Amino acid sequence: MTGAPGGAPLVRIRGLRYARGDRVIFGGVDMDIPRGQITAIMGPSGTGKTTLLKLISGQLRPDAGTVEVDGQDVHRLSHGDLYRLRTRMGMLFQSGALLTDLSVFENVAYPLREHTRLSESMIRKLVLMKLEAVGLRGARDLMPSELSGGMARRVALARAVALDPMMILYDEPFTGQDPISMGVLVTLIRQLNDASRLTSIVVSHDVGETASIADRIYLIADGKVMAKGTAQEVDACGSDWVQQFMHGEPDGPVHFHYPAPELERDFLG
Amino acid sequence: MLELLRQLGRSGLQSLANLGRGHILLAGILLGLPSLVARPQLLLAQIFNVGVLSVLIIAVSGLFVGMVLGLQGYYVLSQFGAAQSLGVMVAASLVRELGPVVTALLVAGRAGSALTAEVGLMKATEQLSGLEMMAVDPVKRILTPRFFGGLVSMPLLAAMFSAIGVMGGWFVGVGLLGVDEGAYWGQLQAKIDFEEDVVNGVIKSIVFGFVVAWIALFQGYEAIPTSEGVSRATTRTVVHSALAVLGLDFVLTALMFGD
Repeated sequence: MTGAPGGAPLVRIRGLRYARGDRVIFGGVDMDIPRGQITAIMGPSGTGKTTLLKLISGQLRPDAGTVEVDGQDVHRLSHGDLYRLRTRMGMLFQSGALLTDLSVFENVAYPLREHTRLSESMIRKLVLMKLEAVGLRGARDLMPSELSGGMARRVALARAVALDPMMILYDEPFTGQDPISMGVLVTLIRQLNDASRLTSIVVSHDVGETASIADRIYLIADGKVMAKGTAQEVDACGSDWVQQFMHGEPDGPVHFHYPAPELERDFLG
Repeated sequence: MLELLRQLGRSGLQSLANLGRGHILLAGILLGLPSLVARPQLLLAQIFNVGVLSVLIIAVSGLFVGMVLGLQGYYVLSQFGAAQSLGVMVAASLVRELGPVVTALLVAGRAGSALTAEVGLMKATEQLSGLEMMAVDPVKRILTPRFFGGLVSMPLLAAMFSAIGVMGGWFVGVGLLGVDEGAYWGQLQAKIDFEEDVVNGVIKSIVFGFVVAWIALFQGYEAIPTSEGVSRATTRTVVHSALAVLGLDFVLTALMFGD
């Protein structure tokens, strides 16, 4: 790790504003993502959690505010510098985003072939090591279309860590997974973070799984941070909204019913 | 009335913005040429996808178009006692017009739509974003090889179309209708000018290859990343390419043979 001093957060977000058309996604958000920890960003669907990852990785530009990664303002970097920074970041997409015309082995080898001049035998060893870490060394010759959703995500994870990045961004890693795949992914995220001294940002709305591995949680909704802290601190927060979200209650500050005219008026004319 | 004007203005601005984005994308694609030169295997793979896989449809269409030209040409020319000039008529029609134009229309339908669908689906399945996050420029890595694959394949396919068409015309004219073989080939050789006919035909097909590949890749790259969005983009590729090819053909013909 270079740039910022050891104690400083790896990602520092200040006054982040982002709107899509008339809809405000973030209205002045501040966040600090500490180094070496797993930080979860949770919130209801459609609150802009994936958008936040795209802002951190420079795929989107904010309307105002700054995002610093390892001391560098992501949105002031030149195209070349941004790409250099991205070689030190990995991202696990919700769909896996594997290249469908390449085998599992070639997908994991892809960033190594693009960014290093390693020999073929070294690439082979590295790819097999990464695949072994996610338990899929035996699936190296399969094509992405032959993988289950959970396996595709594990291959994508192996690819994301191929260049030994300083940080991994996980976009909804648990969505649509069966309990076994979910357990495997939860364990992998924790193990990879600790073994490789990574910084992980997990975006999710699966409260139980995410809270079980997160060192720190940010709860976001309506364009602002609703709560932050460890899982216990967030759980102990007095806010009704936070309680409803953390415990999955069907009604509360977030109503079960979409706003509608009065029931009597609708039915009786 | 005011609403009509507003809609007209909005669609005008949108078209202008699309044109601007299309040109920016084209600049990005062309700037990727040096990295493509460093990895020629990417270009070869796309020449296979766009060119080699289109050979069958081009060969069969060329054969039938040539046979029809032989048949129609014979009936018209024989009324003036000029059936011996059948070879010139068939070859000139193919090399100057039908070869480049029909090939471009067929390639737009077969390979252009496939390019749009492929790139659009890569966008929908986050493969393009995945490349960006791996610090690999998707324009240079995905679009540039496909663009130049189309550009190189088009004139080769058009040449194949014309050559097979001339053989189709020969088969019908000489083989079935009794035109003298020596006259068919001799007049063809004497009257078809290399620069005026062949080179101009090749220039046309290079322009068409450029435009069809550009439209197909732009539509795929700008597609709304849903199944409906990709399907609409694919349709737009075929329609826009066909109109662009036919429109440009008129302009190029006027410039080349207008004097």
